[in-house]
Amino acid sequence: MPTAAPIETVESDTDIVVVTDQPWKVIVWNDPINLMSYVTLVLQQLFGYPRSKAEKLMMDVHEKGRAIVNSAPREQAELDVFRLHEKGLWATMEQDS
Amino acid sequence: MLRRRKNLPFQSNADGTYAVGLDPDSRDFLADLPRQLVTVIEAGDEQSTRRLFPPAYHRESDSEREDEYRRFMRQDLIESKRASLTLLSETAHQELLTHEQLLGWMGAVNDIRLVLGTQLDVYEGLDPDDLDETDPRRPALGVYGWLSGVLELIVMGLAGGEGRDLDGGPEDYLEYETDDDSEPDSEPNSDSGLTDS
Repeated sequence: MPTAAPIETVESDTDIVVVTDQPWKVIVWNDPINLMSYVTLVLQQLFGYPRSKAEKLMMDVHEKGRAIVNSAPREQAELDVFRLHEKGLWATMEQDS
Repeated sequence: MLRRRKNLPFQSNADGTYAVGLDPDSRDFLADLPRQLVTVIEAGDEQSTRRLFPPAYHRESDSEREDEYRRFMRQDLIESKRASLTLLSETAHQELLTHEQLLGWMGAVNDIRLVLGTQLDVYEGLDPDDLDETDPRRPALGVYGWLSGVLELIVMGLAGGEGRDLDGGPEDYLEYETDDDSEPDSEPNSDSGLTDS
């Protein structure tokens, strides 16, 4: 045990916001409109993935219905989602609880 | 259809620009479509534009964050899309495009497809040829298919020709127009099928 541990002085009934540092998962969902080649190119451009990785993610989206294309802190994940929305991909984000 | 029969319609040059090999009618059509989509967006038709503005937070427990995302990001998203659509209209007749401009074309063409495809309730494996001759969706599905071909060719151009293999060459991607001279652009202002209701 550390000898100086300020956290221990917090009263037990204090409202403590639990901030988990679990990363947020950026998810792309399958849809019947976006072209496979287009999804691959967008993933390459936005995340800098090599073509092989972007293609594998695209195939996961196509065959499994969704793929996790990135994991990041919330602000970064939200920016990723925004950029995916700019390109018309169906993207959302979620965090493991 | 294609001015450069042996090349892709979006051909990269050594200086980083792209040569656009589309005929005048196609260019007129691409110049006019964005205006129609902007009308749909400005009408606030949530149903037609739901694929343009999907939720960021899909879990019920994140609904407050979703509200915040919409409040702060929706307008930016609209402006971003409007900028691409305006760019497509204004550069539709250019012989050369910069890389950035072609990226704008790509986004705008896809946004038009997203709304048209949503309105037409497009599903995977849908073949317009399977529809009844009198099906009212046929003309708009023809436009949708033509735009899909244009987008595929833009992607191929941007990917440096490493797009997926094409059966019969890229010309087939634009066969809709070459096979049927009545659509989609015999009139520059012909209706794409985009509706703002």
